[in-house]
Amino acid sequence: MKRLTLILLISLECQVIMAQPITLRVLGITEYTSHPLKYGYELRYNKNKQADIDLVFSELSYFLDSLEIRHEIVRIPVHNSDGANKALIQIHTFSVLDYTTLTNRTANIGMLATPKFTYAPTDFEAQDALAIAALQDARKQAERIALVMGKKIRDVRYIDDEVDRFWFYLKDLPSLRCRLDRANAWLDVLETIFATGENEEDAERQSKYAIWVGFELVNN
Amino acid sequence: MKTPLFAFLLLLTGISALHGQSDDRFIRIVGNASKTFTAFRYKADFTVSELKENEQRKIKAASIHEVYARLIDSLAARGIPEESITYLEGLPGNATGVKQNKYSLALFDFNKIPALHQISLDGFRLQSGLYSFSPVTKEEQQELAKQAIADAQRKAEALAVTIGKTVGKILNIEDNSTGCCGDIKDDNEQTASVTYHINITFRLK
Repeated sequence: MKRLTLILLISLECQVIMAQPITLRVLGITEYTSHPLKYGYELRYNKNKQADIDLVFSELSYFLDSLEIRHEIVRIPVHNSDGANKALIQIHTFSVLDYTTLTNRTANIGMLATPKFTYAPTDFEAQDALAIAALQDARKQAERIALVMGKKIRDVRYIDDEVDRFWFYLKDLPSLRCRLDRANAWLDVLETIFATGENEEDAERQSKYAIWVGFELVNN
Repeated sequence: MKTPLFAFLLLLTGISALHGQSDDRFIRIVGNASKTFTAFRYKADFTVSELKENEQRKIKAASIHEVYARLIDSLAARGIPEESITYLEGLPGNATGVKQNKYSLALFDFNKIPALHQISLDGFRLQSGLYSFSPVTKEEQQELAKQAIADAQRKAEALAVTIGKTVGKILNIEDNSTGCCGDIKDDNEQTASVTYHINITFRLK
């Protein structure tokens, strides 16, 4: 009788332990696009005399007015270390169409300029919707995995909005993560050096919002 | 005697093990805040050099003090007083032995910046011009931290509602930006943005 009680107890405990849910950790991702507020160009001139810079500025203003597009022209005074004046002039337009017109016309006159796009400051409240979309993406992924495992989602155990440190994380090869980070940093530098110039397609910033979600899985 | 005792101990261990499995549900959110600061001063460094006679360029010789006096007149005509100028150092003469002094000029009225840059005077050269910002005060940092916490709270609630739960008490706060933003570097732009990040872990109910 006593032995039977012991066997029953062990069996019961095993069942209870086996029935414990497992946690499935999934990274939910949502992709989004940011559009610039202003599309434009940055022009730099090396001139020794202030009068020459003033002339460039007034000619440029006249040229832009002739294009009949809504624009803004800003002059930022900067200087070379040798003291020679360098004029930095920024031209901004407010639509892709106007930017394209500007691009075509400046190409015709052989003007060398660097594209410059101005974005709105980050709207933190707008990130709520992105986080929710990432959470829903995580749920979809978890459902697919649970199905394969013959389990179902019972609940959400945790949500973790802090994901930066987990990108490229490889548990068994921690040193590789550092190398990847370093490689990515170098790629960014090389991209900057060899960039041939942005166009209106590049102006749209593609970004990702990611969130970790831990789901409790139980047997079907 | 031994078997019931063993059974009891086994049961106790099992219960303890099950109980030991934490049932805490949580949501950890990165709260963000940002504030744009406007420069309080425009600081331009410039040099004043003595002038040597140059017939080709039609320049008459002038001492460093004469050139400086012309500059002061030119600045005064543009509403910039001499008090704005601070002497920095005397620079060693170049190969031609021309004496040079280096100065710094502080402008608090930014409308006068274009006028400063329009000065064209032999012997006067602007070397750099940057906007300066006041340090971010402790009160401003605290305000940013508060806003970051509020941002985390709002986002946590939005996510919790989506999964049919509510946000409970705060379990942990990681302030990733403490001491981040005391000084703002001088910059070409008139405004500078400072961001603050705080990770907050809430209980999920």
